[in-house]
Amino acid sequence: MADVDRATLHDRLLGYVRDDLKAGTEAEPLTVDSPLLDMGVLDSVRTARLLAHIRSEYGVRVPPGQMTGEHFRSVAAIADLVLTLRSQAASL
Amino acid sequence: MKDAAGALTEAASPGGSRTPDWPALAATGLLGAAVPQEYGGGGLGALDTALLYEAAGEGCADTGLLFAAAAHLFACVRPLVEFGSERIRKALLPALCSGELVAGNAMTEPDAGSDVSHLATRATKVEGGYLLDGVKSFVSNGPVAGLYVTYATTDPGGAYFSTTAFAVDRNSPGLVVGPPMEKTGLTSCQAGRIAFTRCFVPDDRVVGSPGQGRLVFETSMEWERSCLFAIYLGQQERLIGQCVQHARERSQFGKRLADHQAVADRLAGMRLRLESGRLLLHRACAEIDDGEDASLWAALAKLAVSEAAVATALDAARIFGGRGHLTEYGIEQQVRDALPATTFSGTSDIQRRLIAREMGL
Repeated sequence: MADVDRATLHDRLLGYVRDDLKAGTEAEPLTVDSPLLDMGVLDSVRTARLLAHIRSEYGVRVPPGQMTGEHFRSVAAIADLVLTLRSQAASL
Repeated sequence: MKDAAGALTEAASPGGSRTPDWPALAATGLLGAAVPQEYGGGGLGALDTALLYEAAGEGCADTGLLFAAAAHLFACVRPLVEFGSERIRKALLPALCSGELVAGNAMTEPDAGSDVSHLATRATKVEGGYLLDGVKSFVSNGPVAGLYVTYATTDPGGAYFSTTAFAVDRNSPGLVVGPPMEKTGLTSCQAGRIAFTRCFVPDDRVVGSPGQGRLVFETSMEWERSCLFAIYLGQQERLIGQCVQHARERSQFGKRLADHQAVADRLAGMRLRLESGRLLLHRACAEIDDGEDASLWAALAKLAVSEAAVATALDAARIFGGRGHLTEYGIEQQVRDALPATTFSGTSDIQRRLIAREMGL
C-alpha cells in the first residue's frame, strides 16, 4: 500500500473493524474513539485477525513490545501505531 | 544425544515412572537448549532445538522424563527469554539451564482448560506488586518446581489484554503446592495443583508488560506445539524401528510378519504419518527461526504429530499382539505416553479451530 494519511487510515481501519470484526451496532455505531477493549471487540480470535490484516494491508508487523492495550484501545490508537510502524520501516 | 537420552532411563524398570534427575537432564543440554549462551544455555534456534528433542525422544523410552524437561524449557524458560526483564533473565536463566531451578507452567485452571481467555485467577495491584488469588491445575513439574510461570486476570475488561504473566517463587507466602496427580501417562513428569491465596508477587516479577499475558502464553505455545512435539517424532521413529525388527523376526502362519501384507501396510502407514508430521514440524520451527508468524504451522504440526503419535502407538500394540499388553515389552507405556498428546498444548479440536482461523474462516 502506498503512503497513507491519518484520515484515510482512520476510515479504512474503521471499516475493517466494523464490517469484518463486526463491532458496533446501528444504535451505537463505531467511531474511531470507541473503546474496543471495553466493548470486548478484541478477543483472541479477532486480535489475531486484526494483526494479520495490519500485516497484509499495511505491510508492517506489530512487534511484541508494542502489543499492549494502550495501542489497541481504539481505532485511532491502532492507526497511530500503524503510522509509527510504517514510518519506522520506511526509515530503515 | 540418543545414547545420552537412553542413559537417563537406566535406573528404572520398563513401564515404571521415574523422578527426573534434573542435573542429568541439564547435562544432555535439553533444559537450556533454546536459551542464549550468555545466560548458560545452548544458544540454539527452534529447528536445532527440535532436532535435539527428536533425538532424545528416539533414544529415551520414557517420554515423561523428556516431557518434564520440555515443559520446563518451552512453557516456562522461553517466556522468560523472550519477555522477561534483563533482571529476571540474569537472576533465573542460569539456574534454570543447569537444573538447579525447576520451573512449572501454571496456566490451566479447574474451570479453564482450553478456554484460557477466562482465567478465574486474579491479580490485584497493590503497592510494589500484585496479590494473586486462584487455583491452577495440571501444573507440569508443579510438585517439584521452585519457580512457576503463571497467568492471572489483571483487567477483566481488557479483552485480549486482560491477563498478565508472572514468575513466582515456590516459597512465596500464600502459595500452596498440591500433591502429584495420579496419571495414566507421562508419569515421570509429576503434575499437580497450585493454589494462590493473597500471594504477593513483586512488580519486577511481571513477565512482559501488564496485559501481555495472552501474548506471552501464545508465543510459548508456538514453541511447545513445535519443539516439544519433536519428542513424539523420536518416539514414533523408535516404535517403528521396534516394529520393523519384530515383523522381521516373528513368524505366523508359516511366514514372517513382515510378509503379511496387512502388517506391511500398517508399517507403511506409520512411516507416512511420521514423515508428514516431521515436515510440518520442521516447517513450523523454520518459521519461528525466520521471525515469521508460526501459528498456522505450529497448529498443523501439533495436530499432525500428536494424532500420529497416538495412532502409531496403537498400531505398534497391534503389531506386537499379546506382547503389546505386557509391561516388559514397553509398548503399553508408549500408548499411555502418547494418549495425552492430543490434549495438552491445546486439544486437536482447538488446533483445527486455530487452523481455520488462520485460513480466514
